[in-house]
Amino acid sequence: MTATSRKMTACLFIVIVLGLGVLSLRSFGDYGLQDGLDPVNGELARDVESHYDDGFPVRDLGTNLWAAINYTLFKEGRPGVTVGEQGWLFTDEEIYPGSESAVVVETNLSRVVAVADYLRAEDIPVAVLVVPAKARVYAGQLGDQEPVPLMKSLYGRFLDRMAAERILAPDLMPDLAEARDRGNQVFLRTDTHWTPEGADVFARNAAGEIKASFDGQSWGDTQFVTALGETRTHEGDLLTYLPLEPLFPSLGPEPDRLTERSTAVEDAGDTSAQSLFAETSADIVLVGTSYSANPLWDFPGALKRHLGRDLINVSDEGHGPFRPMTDYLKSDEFQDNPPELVVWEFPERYLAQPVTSEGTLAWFDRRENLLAQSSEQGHQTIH
Amino acid sequence: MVFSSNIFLFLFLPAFLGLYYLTPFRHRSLVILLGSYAFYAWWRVDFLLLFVAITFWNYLIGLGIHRAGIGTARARKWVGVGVAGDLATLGYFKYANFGVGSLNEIFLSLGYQPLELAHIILPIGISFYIFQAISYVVDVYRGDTEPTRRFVDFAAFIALFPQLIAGPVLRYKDLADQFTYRTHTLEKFGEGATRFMQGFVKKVFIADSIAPLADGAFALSDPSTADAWLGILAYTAQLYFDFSGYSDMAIGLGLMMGFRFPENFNQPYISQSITEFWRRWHISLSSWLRDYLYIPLGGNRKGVFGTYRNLVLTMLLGGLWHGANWTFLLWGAWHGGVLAIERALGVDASPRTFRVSRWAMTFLFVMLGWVTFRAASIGDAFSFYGAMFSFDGFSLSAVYLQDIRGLNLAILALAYLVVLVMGLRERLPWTLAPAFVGRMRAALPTLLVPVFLLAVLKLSAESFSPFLYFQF
Repeated sequence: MTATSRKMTACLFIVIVLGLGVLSLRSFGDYGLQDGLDPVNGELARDVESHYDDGFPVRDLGTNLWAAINYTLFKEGRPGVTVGEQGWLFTDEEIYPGSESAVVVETNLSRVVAVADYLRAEDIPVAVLVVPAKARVYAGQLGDQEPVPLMKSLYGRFLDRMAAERILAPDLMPDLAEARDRGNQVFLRTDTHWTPEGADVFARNAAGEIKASFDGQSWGDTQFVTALGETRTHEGDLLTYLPLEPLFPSLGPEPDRLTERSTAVEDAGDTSAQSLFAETSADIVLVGTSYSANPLWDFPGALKRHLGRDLINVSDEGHGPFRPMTDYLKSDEFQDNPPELVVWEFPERYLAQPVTSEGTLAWFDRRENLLAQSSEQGHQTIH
Repeated sequence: MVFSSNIFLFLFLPAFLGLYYLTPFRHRSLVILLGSYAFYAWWRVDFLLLFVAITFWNYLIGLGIHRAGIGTARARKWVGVGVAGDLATLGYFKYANFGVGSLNEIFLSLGYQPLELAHIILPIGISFYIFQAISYVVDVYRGDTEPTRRFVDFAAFIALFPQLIAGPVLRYKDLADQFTYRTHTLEKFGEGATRFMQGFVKKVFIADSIAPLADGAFALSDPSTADAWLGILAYTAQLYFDFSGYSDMAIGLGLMMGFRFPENFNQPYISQSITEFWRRWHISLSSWLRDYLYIPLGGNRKGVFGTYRNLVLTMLLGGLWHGANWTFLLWGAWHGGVLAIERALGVDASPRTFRVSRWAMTFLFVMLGWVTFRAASIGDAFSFYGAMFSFDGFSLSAVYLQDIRGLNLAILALAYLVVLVMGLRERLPWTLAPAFVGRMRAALPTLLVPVFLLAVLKLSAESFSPFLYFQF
């Protein structure tokens, strides 16, 4: 380096450090000292630093710029998303297993069977609605990427095991594929979930299978209608992994368009009058994940409409399919008002995800212990 | 506080340097001392007291040695007590957990009750500041340096924040004069800023980008051969760019304050023997080990067997210095053993020619050593070796692949390109035209500053925590 370039570097460095340093002071303006943070062991310092980092003036610029570099140069987002063709995004959970352990899938299959056995022992039938992965339905949009063999085999393994255990689990993949081939978009491009149209196709065919399998029950007693709402832009959950906004939104995939739907009893006035005097016990209970819990897709509404029966939706977002099920089975609602049928919506990818909820694991452990106990005592098991 | 953090770079550093340059020279050691204590206390205030106590202890020991007279029996006692106190402190804070844990494993295997010991927190930087303190008292004892005249200079030397957490391991005798006299010019500041930015880019842009490749491979319970080789290649590059980047930043910060620290790395991955590697890797530590351990043990003056024993012992203790784990002992033994073999074979440690076969073998030995260095346990290390040499899977496993991004691989390739170009620069017989070199040097800031800014943006971006949808 020459003397001039050294002096120039010194000046540039001072300008950068001082400039950003002065701007960064603003982040202290809204710092609120939290109670209980120990200044001696570094807790307070870490809290201050974390607040400072959060409010750092070029943080958003850095986030957007590096997301743009990753997306444009490498066609990648933050870990968690797989970027496909034509703006299609896929969750990594559909491409790679959630655990290194090869036994996770088998353990989870056994857990599904254990739940079905538990319900059958209470004379409650169950229908498992396996939601095919978006990466399976739209494999063509993955480009040259493909799910690893274990993930590819999940759907078939799931249905085969259910068939072997005589648990109703209809193969609804062909129906989704047929709708897709007819030009209906059954999954959102930028979201993990299905479109309301996809949820409707799934519900229609699932309802058909359920009605055929449990023909002893009364179907079609109640008429439901679905009203179409506003069509609006929907920023899919997978866009979180491409933080290009606000600086480079045009580089990323276009957000989806989604028409809101809501389903209600055809003659709501009569129904409310009926329900005022009717028993409130649930005949059918839907347990599931965000595919059922998120009102945007209106899956429970579509299922009600195609079954012609009301149902209670105890689905939950953010916990996978096992936890909502065990929570329901442990609930007073289940104990006091056992349903006539349990419908379990189960996205296939969760078969390769380890269960982490302690409450859920405890439920299965307890169940295994009970089975072992009854087997030791020579009693007939609930299988 | 670490250099590669927003709060250091944009708050602490400008505030410190502003105060430093506004203070008259005779009080600048005090500013360094207070700034360094603030830098250290940002981690934990309570452990600053230990640091201050160590400083006082070694200051008093230095005065005691000087009063006793160089080379006297009393001076030997003073130095013995001083070093014993330093080592006892290091031993307690760094090795007590490891020692008790290892003992308990033996006790449990023999059916005895395990010992109980509350978990001891390892004070950051203790290995570095204790070694610096030891070098001070030993140098005073040997008469290599005068004991410090001003306590504040000595305390500022021990605490000097650019090298406090991760070196280089400085010696008082190398810096004593600079505490009395050093220059401060815009040109020197610019040299320091350039060096700091180079180190920052090495750490944030290169090492941190490669880290997921290494972390992912070593987290696998059953890596394939491809996983293991990619993982160790990544770790080899990550460690160098991380550590040498930190040293560059330390040297750069020193220059901004007018100090000139010794170099700590010199293209180690171009070495053609392990002996040469240790002349190029963490130079300040290897020369410390040579001067304060290998030579006092007898060096190569105790016959052939004694030399080999001293080499292995020095490297064993050098390994243990890195961390309280059997893996570091094994790593030290590996290097010590290879050094002894190279000495027995008469390997030239300063070759003038470049032989690819020698370089490849040395690089392989270094990588094999890094496996043990990185692994969490000896068992993990041998599982990793098993994967490297089982040759049973030449594709990356799905779990590993999931965390690999194109950017990680591109930066890994860039890292090795940098290693190759910088290393071969001194090995190749031809040289670039002086005019071209001159133009390149003049253009360095034009290239470096934008990359530094990109690294700053990367650092800012990575404190961002995305919404983890997939826990749904």
